[in-house]
Amino acid sequence: MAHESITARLFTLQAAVLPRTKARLGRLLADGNASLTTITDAMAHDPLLTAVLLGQANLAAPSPVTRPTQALVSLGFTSIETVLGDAREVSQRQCQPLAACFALGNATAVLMRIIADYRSTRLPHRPDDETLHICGLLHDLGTVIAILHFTDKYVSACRRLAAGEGPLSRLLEEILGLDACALGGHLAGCWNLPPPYSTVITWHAKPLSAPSEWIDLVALVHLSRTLARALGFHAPGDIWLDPVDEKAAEMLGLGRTDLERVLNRTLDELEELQLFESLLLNDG
Amino acid sequence: MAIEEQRILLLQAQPGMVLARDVNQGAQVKLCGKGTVLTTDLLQQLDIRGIKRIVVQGRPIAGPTQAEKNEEKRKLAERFSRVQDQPAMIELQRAVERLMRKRWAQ
Repeated sequence: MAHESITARLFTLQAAVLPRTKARLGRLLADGNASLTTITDAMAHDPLLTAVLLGQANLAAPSPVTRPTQALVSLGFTSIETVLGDAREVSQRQCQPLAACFALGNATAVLMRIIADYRSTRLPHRPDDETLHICGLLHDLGTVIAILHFTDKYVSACRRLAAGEGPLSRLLEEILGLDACALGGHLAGCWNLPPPYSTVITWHAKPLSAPSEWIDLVALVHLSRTLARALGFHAPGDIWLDPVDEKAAEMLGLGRTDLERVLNRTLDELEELQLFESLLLNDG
Repeated sequence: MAIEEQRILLLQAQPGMVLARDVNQGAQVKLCGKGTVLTTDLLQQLDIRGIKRIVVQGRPIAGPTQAEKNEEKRKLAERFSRVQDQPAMIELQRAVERLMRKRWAQ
């Protein structure tokens, strides 16, 4: 497909939401006792809703809005109701693949914060926890969009991946015209996502090619994603791990002992997340 | 004789389970007491108040079976099967294997 036609399609995309997420958020919004934190937490498991809301907050903002709580305060709770109202419910057929993608984003988000805690000296400009979380959550937005809106092409690329014809990024580029990183980067532009997010979405597979001021953050996303996939979180059809960029991993200086501690702590925190993927599929 | 109890995620809780310990919000506020039988409404109220984990009587959530453990090992080997020429990735695979064994032993 030509880049222009892909971009045109991205501009007109309707947001999508999993039925369970919609039901849960609707319940929380209807109950006057739910706090801003509880609502933000519920929303911040969903990369698409988070991206749409951040994009809307950045439309008229004088400076970049990077945190969902900031976006909610500036837009108001009604903005979530509007986003939920406008979003189409994901079809039953697409629920499972999408839930797997969301789980990978959430696992990467948890790892971002944990690794950043262990390697704070290697991250002189460490963003706040919420920004780190959203970097991990949104990093693979391109795959989410490929699954939702370019389904046949994504499935074809995965078939060739299973046959060992090459890495998914190259196969998707051959079939669709863009790999998932480039697709996500285009979407980030269309949806007004500010630089920390548009950068990690575009460069997480090639961290050392990122703009210099963001290299350490993109390297952190790259390593977090690799560890999340090592633990079993993956986009549908893309089960095989890619090699880690060793120079990016060296930048963070995560030694063997650190690595085991990070994985151990992550597994503790992911206990909830592992259930999350299956629970996303319930009608709840 | 002590009653057996299990700490579970609120997401795992089902109506009919019985609380083995009080559910508190912060240090001061008790939301419901031990011995309370969980209902759908109560679970929703706890969710709204941001409660993530509770302690219930018995051991309603079973650990993985041997067949499930074997399947996990197979999946791990499969996802690392295309990076067996990468020492850093082999090291990562071993780290994940050690952690899986450790957690299953708990």
